[in-house]
Amino acid sequence: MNAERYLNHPTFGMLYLVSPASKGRDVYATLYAQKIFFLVTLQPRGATFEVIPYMDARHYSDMHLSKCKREKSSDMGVWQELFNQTFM
Amino acid sequence: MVTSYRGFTRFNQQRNSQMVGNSSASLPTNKTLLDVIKSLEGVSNETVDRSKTIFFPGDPAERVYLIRRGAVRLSRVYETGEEITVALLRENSLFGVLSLLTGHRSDRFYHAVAFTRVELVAAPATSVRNAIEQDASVGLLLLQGLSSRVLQTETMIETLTHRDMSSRLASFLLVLCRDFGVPGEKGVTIDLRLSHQAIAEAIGSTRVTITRLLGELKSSSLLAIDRKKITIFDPIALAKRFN
Repeated sequence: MNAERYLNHPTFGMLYLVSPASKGRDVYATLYAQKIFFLVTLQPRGATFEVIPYMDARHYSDMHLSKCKREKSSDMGVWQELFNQTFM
Repeated sequence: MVTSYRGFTRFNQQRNSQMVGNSSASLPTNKTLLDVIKSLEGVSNETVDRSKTIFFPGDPAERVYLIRRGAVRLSRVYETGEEITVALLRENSLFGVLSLLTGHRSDRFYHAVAFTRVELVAAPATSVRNAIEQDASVGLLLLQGLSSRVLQTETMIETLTHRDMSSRLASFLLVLCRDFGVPGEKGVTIDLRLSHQAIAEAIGSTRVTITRLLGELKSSSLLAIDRKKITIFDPIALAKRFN
């Protein structure tokens, strides 16, 4: 896992990592209420944030879970729990 | 922790130009609210030490503030000496907005205190008004800043609506994690030195109750406290309780 578990957004405060997405980006969610999702690109100095809808965030997360299953990843349990905490 | 340097990009450029239709009103993708406030006429940079007052109730409401670093507490002080915290504001928060409504014709009714050492930019309300009239993008950034304050206030209202004090405290700790959290190996540490009295004043409780409830959370291994700094081991699980 290259991404940080938590990130600070200038407006929304602390975000947590939900799942890796495509092209080196990651999905994060707001800690409070867990209802705003971001596609985050980490950069040498900070990060850029793009707000994405719930269904997109869930889709990225689903795709990542399937990939973990296929590859029998040892992190599967961690990602599954994050998925459950965020979307269930 | 990675620090962010830019806000959210809700719309892509194309959609944005379709929506707005002229370039002067497009989202200023590179400018931040801080850049805008800093460039205003009559602006001043201020550093305020912990526990020092930024403005008192009764001071003329002439300037708008933006927090560059640190935390600011807004409170009401009653004649009985009782003090109630109405907001604990994080970096990038606007406050002193009464001046925008009344244009230095009224007096402050909140007490603004530096909760940590604070760096601020302060701009005369008249300069803010002039800048909005000249450049719509300034208005848009201010609108975003104020919208974010509205959301913060609403989450605080949600927190205060919990009737049982243990839920209220847990919800408040989560708000503090969101606004002042620093991730570490054991979880997220709220980067404020919080006395039990300060927590009580923020959520309408008493010091004795807060001491008892924090003790309970500690013994259930949900958090640790070291020199008045609280570390929440699993804020995501805690947040789930209020989802």
